[in-house]
Amino acid sequence: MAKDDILAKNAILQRDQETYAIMARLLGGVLDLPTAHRLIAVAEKYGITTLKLTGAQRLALIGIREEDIDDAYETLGYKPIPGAALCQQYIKACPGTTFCSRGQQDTLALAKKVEERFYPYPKITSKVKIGIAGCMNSCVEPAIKDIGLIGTPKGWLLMAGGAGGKEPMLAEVLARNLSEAEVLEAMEKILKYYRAASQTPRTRNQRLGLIMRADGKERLLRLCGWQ
Amino acid sequence: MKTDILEKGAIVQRDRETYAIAPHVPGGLLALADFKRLVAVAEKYQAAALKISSGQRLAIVGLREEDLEAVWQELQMSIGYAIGLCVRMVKFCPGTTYCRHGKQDAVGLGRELDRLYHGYTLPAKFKIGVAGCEYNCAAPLVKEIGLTGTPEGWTLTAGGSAGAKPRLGDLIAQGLDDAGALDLVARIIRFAAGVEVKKVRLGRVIEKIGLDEFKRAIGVG
Repeated sequence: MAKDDILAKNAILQRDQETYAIMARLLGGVLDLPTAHRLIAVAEKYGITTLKLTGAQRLALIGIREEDIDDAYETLGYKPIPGAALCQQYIKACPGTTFCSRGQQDTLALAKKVEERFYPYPKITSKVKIGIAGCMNSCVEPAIKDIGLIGTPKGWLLMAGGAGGKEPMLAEVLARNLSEAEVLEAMEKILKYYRAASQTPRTRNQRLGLIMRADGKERLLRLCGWQ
Repeated sequence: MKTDILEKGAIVQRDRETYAIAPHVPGGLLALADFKRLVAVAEKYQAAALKISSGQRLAIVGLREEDLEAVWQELQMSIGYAIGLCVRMVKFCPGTTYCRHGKQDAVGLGRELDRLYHGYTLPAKFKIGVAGCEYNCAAPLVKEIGLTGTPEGWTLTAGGSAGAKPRLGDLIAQGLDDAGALDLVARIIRFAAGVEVKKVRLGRVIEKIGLDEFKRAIGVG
């Protein structure tokens, strides 16, 4: 039987149709030294000579054989989260006020809360990409994410419905000057809306931006209590 | 107060005291030997963190100014141009080298573009993204030049940006082979080099002169 991605192990089949890529879990791309040493150990054990820093701020170990996947995770020190289709879902965050002199809001703290509360997003059959930028410079490209956030001096700007793929779309701004709590509350409603549309035949497998266009963004604004 | 140190590729951090550096790692393809040196250096100089950036770089964050020279020497890597008015990065996906969705050799073209243009001085920030298929992992639509692989060749878009005024790139050409893509990129970079105002991203320039005029200026259509 031909091989395929192993979703339960977050392992992505490579072009050779034989080996897999697995990813280090690095929220917002922040890599601590103990994790870095474990990554080196795995790479050396399996003869991996090149790592890939991805557009999703992940560090991929490419070329792992199927029978080594479990052991590789054990060496890394964690279990994969089943149901998180890696290429379909991610949270990207810039350094924000933790490190960057331009940051207006704490991106890494928000990313952690978003991940703890919502990730993964079962039953949403299309992509769920979230970008959390600390300022208008938008290092993590929130304008082409399903949900994009930009830190401003007065709070968070929230936009939704962006996409960078086959049907690229810029996200639409839904609200400004939100507190962190308001952002999380709104995200819950937006994800619920996305999940419901994901299970409706007419809109199955569509990105949030297409669903919003068909419905009109007012519907989402009403659901969030902003209209 | 401290500021960025361009010639050392050092970006001053929020504390206005320490710096981040982002070595040049084309397309985020990081050799294990380089990764090991990065980790060793971060440890030795007590960096605050390693951070994978949106530009597929691995930044060392929280270095002291007096250590920067030694850090670069021990890394044996060159500067990644994360700041300044130049070609910032060529972001590329795994393409046909690794990914089974790949339709074109994003790594091959990405590396060549990186060799030709990374750090190339221009009047404004300039980003390039090369994706091997229409999933557009390298976000080409929000780069000054975006290349997307299709079974028929490369699709080239220009004038995208993700920042304060986000803009999707305009379609310039389709069905290009590698040589055709390189040639068109060269013409767009020549055009960008001739823009007289500074710090205006290509998309704004295209809006100002009109897409047709831009195409004429780069010899398309």
